[in-house]
Amino acid sequence: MSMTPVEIPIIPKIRKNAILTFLSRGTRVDERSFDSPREINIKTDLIPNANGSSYVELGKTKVLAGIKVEPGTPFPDTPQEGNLIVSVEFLPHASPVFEPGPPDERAVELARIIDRSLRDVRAIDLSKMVITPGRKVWNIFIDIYVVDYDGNMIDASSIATMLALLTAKIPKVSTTETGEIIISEEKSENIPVKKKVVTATIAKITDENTGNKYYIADPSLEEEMIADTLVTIAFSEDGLITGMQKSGLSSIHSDDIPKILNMSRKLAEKYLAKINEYITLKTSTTPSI
Amino acid sequence: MGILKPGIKLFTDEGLRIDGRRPDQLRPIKIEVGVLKNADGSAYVEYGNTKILAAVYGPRDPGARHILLPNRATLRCRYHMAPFSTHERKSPAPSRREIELSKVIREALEPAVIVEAFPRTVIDIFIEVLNADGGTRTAGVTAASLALADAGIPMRDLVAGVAVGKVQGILVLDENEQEDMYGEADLPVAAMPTLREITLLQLNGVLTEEEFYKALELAWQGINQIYKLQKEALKKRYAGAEEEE
Amino acid sequence: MSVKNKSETQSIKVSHREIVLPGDLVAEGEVVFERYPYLYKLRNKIMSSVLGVAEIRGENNLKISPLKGVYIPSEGDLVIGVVEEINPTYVHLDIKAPYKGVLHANEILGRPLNPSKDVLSEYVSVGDVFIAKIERFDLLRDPLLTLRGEKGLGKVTEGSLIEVIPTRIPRIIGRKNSMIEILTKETECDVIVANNGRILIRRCPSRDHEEIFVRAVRMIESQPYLKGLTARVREYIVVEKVKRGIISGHT
Repeated sequence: MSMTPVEIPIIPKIRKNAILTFLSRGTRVDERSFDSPREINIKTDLIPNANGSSYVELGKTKVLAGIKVEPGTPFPDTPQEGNLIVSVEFLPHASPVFEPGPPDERAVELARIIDRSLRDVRAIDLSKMVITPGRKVWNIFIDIYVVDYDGNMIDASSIATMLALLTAKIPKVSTTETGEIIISEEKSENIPVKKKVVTATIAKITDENTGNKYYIADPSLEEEMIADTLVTIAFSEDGLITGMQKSGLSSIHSDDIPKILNMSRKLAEKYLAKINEYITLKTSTTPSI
Repeated sequence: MGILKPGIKLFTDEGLRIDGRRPDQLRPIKIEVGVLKNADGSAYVEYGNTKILAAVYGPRDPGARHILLPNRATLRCRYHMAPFSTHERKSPAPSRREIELSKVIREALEPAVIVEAFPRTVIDIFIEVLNADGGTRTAGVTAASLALADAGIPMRDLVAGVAVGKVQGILVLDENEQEDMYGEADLPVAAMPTLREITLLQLNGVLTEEEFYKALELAWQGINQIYKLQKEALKKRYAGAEEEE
Repeated sequence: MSVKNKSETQSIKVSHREIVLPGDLVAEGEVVFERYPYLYKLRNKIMSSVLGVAEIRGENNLKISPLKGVYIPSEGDLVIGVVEEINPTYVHLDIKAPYKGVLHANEILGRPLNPSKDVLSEYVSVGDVFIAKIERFDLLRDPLLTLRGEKGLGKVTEGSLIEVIPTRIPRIIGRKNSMIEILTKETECDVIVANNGRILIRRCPSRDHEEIFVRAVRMIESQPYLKGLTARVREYIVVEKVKRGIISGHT
């Protein structure tokens, strides 16, 4: 059963007013403009036992994504395709309100948002992830760890997922002359990422006193705490919309949809530029957390 | 959204859908309010073969103090599919999909309910899918909002929902399960029609920006029609009440 | 739907006794309205938030009577409560509301509680029925009940209790007590109608009298705004009395 969150940390009224005052002047408490994301820091290949891994800081939100690729059986309805399985875990380290235990509804929702953003646009060419057609395929497990929560886990998780996929290495599969299938020890192949996809989240903050509405990109935790609604839109690098999710306790006026769509598209472009820049500049040094 | 299997035709040569509808046509919609005795509010809704039973209890004292909020009512929502509601029996344990949809539906109703009127209480919303044929979450929202109104819970507006699909390149209103399964995109939308506020918005699948705006417009057409039916059903339930003394 | 009593001014958008639904525009501009949360303001518009009946009182004065809904306590209301829990210094009463009624020991004892001597459970037990008045309630604290200040308040020892939809109580009482006077006069039952949707029926002349009373109440509950309801209720009671041989058919 889903319940109105009751363990919400209380934000002091004067802090809330300060945030609103900044917004009314067209800027934000951390001096960002409404459409700017926080600083993004990226590291990859941190987890030697994973096929791919990435660590992304979106401001102070920290997310670690690990990819394990293992042989498995295909689903009956997709015998010629590999499988994609996305899970999200909020580490108890990440926030005083996160507790160990079964994934809470926000973690389930987040995993499903990331999964949907990738699946139908076929961001990964799962038809290339087949070992023996109809019998053995690669399972791609994407596990996302929220390590430190300072708002907008969705975009941080999406960026981390994309980077882990782009940098993952999987074994080479070859067939001998006798038809025997050999999976090499060495991980030399890339996961066939056909299109880069990212989510972009816009928060709506309403000033109850003036009735003014503000839409801001990549909300920090305290902005999220006073925001009444979030809209997340996923874009592929060729400009298609590949997913959407409204969340939070309030609603969005129909007339505001184009504004949100334009803002999120620009935000997605910034995230994609950052991902491309990192991949291009990626050196052979082994970073660590 | 699956990949289109060759040979499956989802439109006739005349451009009609497998169940004979035009692309912009809703399925037959049936709404009944106040169908349960014990619940404070209830509603039964059909969108074609999608059949939903919704019940509301509250505002009430849940006994558990720790889930109460000092300034508003706490909403609890369960979206659940009956084991017999699907082609293959569904395990009664809540799936990840049901966990997500319970949240998404709760958040589609939260903006409508005037929760500030009942601090330190709980409002429970139970949505049971009795038969699934596409559009269960949006039909669920429609039913739940009627059950809330039937319980006499103050709301800014009713909430009506419908999904729009992209099927073989064509935008269709209120997809059934087959269209959803073989379609390229599913855009469920719910809204408070008088206020023009969108309370549920999801997209599963791929759309261009242009298609998205067209799909949203089509969803609004459906929502406005369903909203009318909701109001008629509520008024029918209390027919006679307005007669003068 | 009648438009007979539609206000002359442009501001009220509904007719008297018209059914309204959540999200219906009921008035615009400067209109006096009462009973939040059944009406709410959207910029200069006044919208209904419940399934209810509009009641226009004067030119720019509007109220919505909800057709359903839980009982919301209000200071000064008479309530009938059932003891649910006994604590050392107070008891909790179920008053059919989302909030528990609080009745302090000194109300029950009629004197200050002596904590070293008095054991509250010797005076009251779970399931006891009390008629009480709401002394204080502000949504932040549970409603505080009192047994003082009015005749008839206190523990109930006899009679039968029925429950109705709380929002029907004003119809059962009627304008200036018109309906309840008919009900009690014709059935000769001693009746206490509480705002929280409970009715206590005592000292009816016979079992038949009591049954007629209950049926008449159910009739009002199911068709609260029926045309000529008062006359119909009176007629119904007379017919029932004849049927049951309480009176002869020639009156």
